[in-house]
Amino acid sequence: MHSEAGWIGRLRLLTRGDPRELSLWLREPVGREGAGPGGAGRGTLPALMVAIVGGAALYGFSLGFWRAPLQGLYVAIKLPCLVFLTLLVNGGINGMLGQLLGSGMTFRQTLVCCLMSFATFALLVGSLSPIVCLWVLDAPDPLAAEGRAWYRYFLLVNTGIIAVAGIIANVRLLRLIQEFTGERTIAARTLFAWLSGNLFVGAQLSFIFRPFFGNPRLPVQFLRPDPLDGNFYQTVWYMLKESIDPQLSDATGFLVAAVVLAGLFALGHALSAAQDPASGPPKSPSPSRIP
Amino acid sequence: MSPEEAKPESTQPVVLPPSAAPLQRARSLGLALEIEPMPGPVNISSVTEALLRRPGRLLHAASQGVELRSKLFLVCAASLAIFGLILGTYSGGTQLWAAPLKLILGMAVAGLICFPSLYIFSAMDGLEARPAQLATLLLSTIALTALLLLGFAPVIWVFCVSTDSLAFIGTLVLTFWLIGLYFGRRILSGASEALGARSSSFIRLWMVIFTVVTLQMATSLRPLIGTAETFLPQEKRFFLQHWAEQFAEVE
Repeated sequence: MHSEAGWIGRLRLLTRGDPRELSLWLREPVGREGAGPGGAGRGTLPALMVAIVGGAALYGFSLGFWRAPLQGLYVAIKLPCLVFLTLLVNGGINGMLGQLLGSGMTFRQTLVCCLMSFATFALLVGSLSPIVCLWVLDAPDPLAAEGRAWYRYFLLVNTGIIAVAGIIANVRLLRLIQEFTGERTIAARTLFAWLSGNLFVGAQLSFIFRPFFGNPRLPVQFLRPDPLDGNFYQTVWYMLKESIDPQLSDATGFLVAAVVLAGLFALGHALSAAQDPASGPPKSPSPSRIP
Repeated sequence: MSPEEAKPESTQPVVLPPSAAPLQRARSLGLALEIEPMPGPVNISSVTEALLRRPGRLLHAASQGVELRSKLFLVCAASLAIFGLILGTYSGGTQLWAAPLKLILGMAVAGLICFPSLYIFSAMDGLEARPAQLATLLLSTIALTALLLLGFAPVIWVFCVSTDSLAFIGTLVLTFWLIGLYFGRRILSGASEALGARSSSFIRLWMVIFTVVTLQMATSLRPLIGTAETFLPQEKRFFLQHWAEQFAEVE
């Protein structure tokens, strides 16, 4: 049982990642968070926000630092903003889907749950930022001839770091939802819904907030001159089209995307229905009489 | 406290059909359809919460004679109005008021013209419900769909401000529309099973018809996204033909 109060105690709980403890944390009534023995009554939201702002800003700085320290500062501001904006845009629909899919969470609990996941991610990547910074200090100059090859290497390694941290954060989130709801299928379904929405919106917001890594061929900027021109998915489609067949129509792309989405949705629905023990024959033949 | 608000406090039991299967089936869909009284007063907030978390509470309140339809209609209208406003920001100008108006009007007409078939189809599934009960169920379905669209509205807005592609926004709205109707269908079939329907196959079929009607309605009231010279279209078109033409224009 958690009795640790204050931000540090809360963050320790988060890093331990015990689903039972986190579930109890999630169930605490508003205004009573952290009010355990000797607790200072610190709120949940400030603790999670400190983790996200601190971790994401540190990692963001290390991402942009290679291009220029100013770019590092810009990314340190943008990365936490990206997390909070994603949650802001998806907060309503995440809460609704969580309730509809049977998680039993309120809007506030859904928000805290998502913040916990992002905070775990931020703590992980933030803890790696000194290593990335040191690596950057040892890197060739961005404008040097070998800079371009190093940039690709840097992109690849950091994509790996982000992917691994994202997987760990989401596995923990899955365990937490499972502990909270008591049902694996509902937990998987809820996580799938939240993750799909957050990835879908997060990709577009990161497209708007680019640059993050700071391409050495482009100037140091907070945002590109045309941040709201175009969208992530169209850009990906145009790149794919160029590599497959430049004559392919955009309509084909939309149709393919729609068919893939529908297929994934149907597959997920069929799999969760097949795994659900409650979908079997009724155990009790007695009439349901509910007062 | 008004008489309406006092009614849900009733402790009279609601007897469900002599089989536990409907409830278990409903739970397998992730839908907590325990029929139970509303814990507090019946207002917009409690109706919204019940739609999302405990649809069984709406069934109980309806069975106790509580007037839910006006509240459900308000939830629908407000949600569709905000969603329409966000859609309208794609083009701005007239569309800021035309899109919400057309959405509310289109959904209301689709619900009205599909209601007789819902009555017949639900009867074929073995559901012995009064028209008033079915109207509440239909409104609950539409209200849940509208609420989900409201939840998706910020996502639509992010793309409305950052893309010019009508086809992209159209596909996105269509996807969200279908997701909303999918969850709406769950409430309709779950509730009808809990109320004694033998199956939900005809209701599922009806839901497909209702989906097609709403899509045709969106085409008949076009444009919901983008601009046009007239408020309503001058030309009659089937929705698939309209989409095909829109995609062709993108090229």
